Amino acid sequence: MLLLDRIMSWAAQGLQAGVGFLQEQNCSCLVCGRNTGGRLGMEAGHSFNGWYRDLLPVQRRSVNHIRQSISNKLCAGCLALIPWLTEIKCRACGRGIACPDCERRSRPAFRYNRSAVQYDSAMRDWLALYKYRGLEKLEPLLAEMLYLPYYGLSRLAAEAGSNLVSCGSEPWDMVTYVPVSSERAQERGFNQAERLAAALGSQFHLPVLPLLIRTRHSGKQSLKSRRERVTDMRSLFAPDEAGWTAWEYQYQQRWNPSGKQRKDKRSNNRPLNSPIRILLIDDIYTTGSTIEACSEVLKYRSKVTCEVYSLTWSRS
Amino acid sequence: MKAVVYAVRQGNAWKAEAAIDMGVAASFWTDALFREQVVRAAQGRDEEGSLCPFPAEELIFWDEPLPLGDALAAAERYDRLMGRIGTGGARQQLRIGGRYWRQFVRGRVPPWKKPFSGAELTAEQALERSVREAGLTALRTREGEPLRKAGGLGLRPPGSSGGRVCRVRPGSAGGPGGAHRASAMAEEARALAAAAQTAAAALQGRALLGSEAHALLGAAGAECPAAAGWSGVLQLAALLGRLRLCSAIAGDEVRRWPGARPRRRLRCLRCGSGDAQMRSTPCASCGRVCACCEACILLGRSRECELLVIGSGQRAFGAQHPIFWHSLAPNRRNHRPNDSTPAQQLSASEPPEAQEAQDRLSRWKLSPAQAEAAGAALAFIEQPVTKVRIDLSAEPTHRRRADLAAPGSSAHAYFSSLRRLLQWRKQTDAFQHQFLLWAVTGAGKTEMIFPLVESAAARGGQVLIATPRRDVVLELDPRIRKAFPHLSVVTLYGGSPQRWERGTVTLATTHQLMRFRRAFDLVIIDELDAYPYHGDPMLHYAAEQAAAADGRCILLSATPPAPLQRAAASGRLCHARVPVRFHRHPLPVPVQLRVPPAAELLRQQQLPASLRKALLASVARGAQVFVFVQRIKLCEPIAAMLGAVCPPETAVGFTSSKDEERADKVNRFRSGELRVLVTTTILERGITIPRSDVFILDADSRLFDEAALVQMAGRAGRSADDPAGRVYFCSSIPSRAQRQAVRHIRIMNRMAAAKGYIINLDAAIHK
Repeated sequence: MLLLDRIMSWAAQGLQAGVGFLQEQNCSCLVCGRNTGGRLGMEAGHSFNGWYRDLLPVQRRSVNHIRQSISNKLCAGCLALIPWLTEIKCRACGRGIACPDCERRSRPAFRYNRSAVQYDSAMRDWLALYKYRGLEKLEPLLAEMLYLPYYGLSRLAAEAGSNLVSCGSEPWDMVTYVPVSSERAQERGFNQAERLAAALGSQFHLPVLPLLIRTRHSGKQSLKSRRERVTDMRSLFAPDEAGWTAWEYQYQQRWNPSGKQRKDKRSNNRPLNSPIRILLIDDIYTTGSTIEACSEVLKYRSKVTCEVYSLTWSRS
Repeated sequence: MKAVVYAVRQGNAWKAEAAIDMGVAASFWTDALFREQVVRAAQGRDEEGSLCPFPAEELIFWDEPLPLGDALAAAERYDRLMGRIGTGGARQQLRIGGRYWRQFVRGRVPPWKKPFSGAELTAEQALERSVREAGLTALRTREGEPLRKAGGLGLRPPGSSGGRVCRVRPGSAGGPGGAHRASAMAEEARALAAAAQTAAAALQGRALLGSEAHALLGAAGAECPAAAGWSGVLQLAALLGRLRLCSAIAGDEVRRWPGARPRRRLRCLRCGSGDAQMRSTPCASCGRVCACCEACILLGRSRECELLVIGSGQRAFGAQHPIFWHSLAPNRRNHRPNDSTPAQQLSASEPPEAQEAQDRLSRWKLSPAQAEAAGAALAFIEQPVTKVRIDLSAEPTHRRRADLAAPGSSAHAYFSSLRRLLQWRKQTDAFQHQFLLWAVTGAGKTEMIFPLVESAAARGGQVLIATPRRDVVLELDPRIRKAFPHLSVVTLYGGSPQRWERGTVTLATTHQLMRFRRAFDLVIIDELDAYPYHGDPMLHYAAEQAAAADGRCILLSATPPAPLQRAAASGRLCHARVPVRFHRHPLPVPVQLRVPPAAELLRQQQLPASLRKALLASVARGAQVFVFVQRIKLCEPIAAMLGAVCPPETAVGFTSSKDEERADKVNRFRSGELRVLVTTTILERGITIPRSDVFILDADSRLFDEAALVQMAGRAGRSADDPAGRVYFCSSIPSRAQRQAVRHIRIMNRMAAAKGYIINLDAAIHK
């Protein structure tokens, strides 16, 4: 009975998705609520989020597809507000201008950061709508905006070398995110970085693992000065053992499923020596101190060499 | 937020509730000493004494905290389950061949399953069952949502993670520990009870989310006892019956037809929105997928697991000793309520204290038309609360249709007309408390509400003046403060510094009303046909909920929506019309000009001779000119074109909702620096320019309905110095809305002339 119910509801969903292409959708801008002009709704990815997605071959959405889907969600006015970071001056942190921070930092713990947009007043409003007001319908939009720099960052990572543990087409072993304290999660109801990471993970078929926890409840970063932020970051993050255990279990499953000790020590340890590559997600990169602190913890905890790349939604 | 479900037995009856602070609830029900102290403190303040003096004989609770919404649902389910034992409902139902047997025959219930009956369940089993069922129902509704996104957030039904039923033995905690410990306990209990009383008083008439309630209590200066915290205080106030704690989004189960599987419907208790506005997302505060209302999200998130604190209503405590509304009036002591007076007869029959009312009105220096309308409104708000009989002869169409449809025609026709009849009756019930003050543009509506505010405040009532727009609130604020220097006035809007204060007169935007519940004896809604109030059911719900149970509502408008106009015309809605402006000159009647569409004018880059002549004449006579266009993008080119036509010293400006310098430009227009202002409907109301003329381009546009045209025409001739402003409708063919607007204005002028309000009668006749 239950199964029949499920099948019927799937069928209904499929029908809706199919008919959706024919109907003119009610296209109102996610941010300002104005009509986007009633274009024929190509709700990208909608029909591919069904249960049968796992049966289809993994296929990346093209950049144009994502762009189209973003512009479908917004009205022309709001779309023009987005300050995309397309020209990158600082190779390390992905800033649009030359960046003294990265020159000062001799050996950063993370390799590269890439961001989708420049953090300006409009973007601050959008992020505040999502983070503080809790307007969760913006989530797919912000996630899609994050996909765009993901392509560039993947290319960078792929150039850096491919002797990876992961066997998928993407050059990452796993995705993780900057944690929030439990008080903040309680108050806000969600962790924006985790949501973005989850969206990215499901889009590109990457494992998302919670590898970090925040040890104490620090005040809002946005209310602090630069020096305070840097000193405050020390010992703020710690490895999340549950996440690491899950990772190690997966790792072992992939490389030594039988769990036998081989005679040849070297061949047993061989995959352990190759670096793992972690993609760290956050909503905003301001001074880089959060990303730096998280990367240090990740590097310290991982038992093998570890490359951390960071992908953030905005760069101030 | 999470809560614990518990059930208590008093005598033979079990009752379940959800507690946000189980410690306080447990001591309240089982600890005799704590209870005694609390009850004594509560009764000292409040003579009502509805509190049961006996503690519970047994208390059981589910030791796993559940999300608030699920906990409340479980408690309700438990009451239903155990209620059947008391009345023998389940057995009776079985005997007379109730639902079970019908379902059994249809094959919906497998025969080996036990039929539903609470009779064989012990209290513990019933609690467990209700907790599991509530969780399962919650899960079932959330099934349609993309569970994939929920990730690792536990989607298990409650109870599966090892919750169990625990039992608390009643007794005094201070008992064997000695007198010293007992006195410390008593001290603590008294402090908590005092805090609960303060909190209940501060939260009276409010509906606030948990965090807002904490902020309010902090601002009200209530002390938070360190041991229990705010949740303990709120919990105790709720146990004492002074507050209601519920989840901000409540779910109820509905069956579409008898025997159908129940579906869970969600409803936001703060803004009244239904399922369509809900969005279910995984929630870190309760660890499940829970719904969030997107309609009222800008006032803070209302979630299924979020606490909504509803204070007791304004007159709730008077219910025990009914105090009549009129008996509070110091100057109306001798008035006897005339129960049989229907509201409809108000305007016809002269109240006995007409002379007295005249005296009170004369203080405000109203024009005759204003005074008459204000007098009618005053009589309406001062009459005692009576249930007015619905005049059945006034519901002819639907009723007749229902009667006609009954015997022969299809069931569908019958039921649809019956439904409309019921809707009609419900609406008529709502009208019992409402009074429509239909005053033309520039009639001086604000002056007319002064006597009403005075009357309500003099009887100790709370008054609310709400308008949809924030700038109107800010404009009204100094006028109200000046008129009532002795009353406390609170102004509320988004980001207002007086956010948590209470006063006799509250000025607010309509969105702020969602934070009030049954708080005001007199609610005045200004510009009720303006965006966003008009057409937003959420704001209507908020306004309805803000009024006290026997509160009165005054609706102010120059152009009431059609349903209200119909209700007023048929006599269902009490109303008064002010057909003339305060300066007692007729409204300017719009003149039709044949002008091609604005886009065409721009293409040709020249104005037709008639428009140019009229515009130059207006500028030459020293009037400031409003030019209304239908779209924002037309503003700038039209302004440029008019600038080329007008004499060079005339400053032409334009503004729109997208213009960042709007406030500045409007101020420059007000000061007379700008002579011509091209704008859209955003300036159709709320702006008064002493000597002004109005041109409406594309007046036949679909965007301009009758109300908009009347409002725009109402910008002209508003001062006594220049009462005959000019209004031009520029279109190729007059549209229906245009004709209706002209008719509306003519009718008002004719009515004013007939009642003798107009000074210069000749002008009215010539027009």
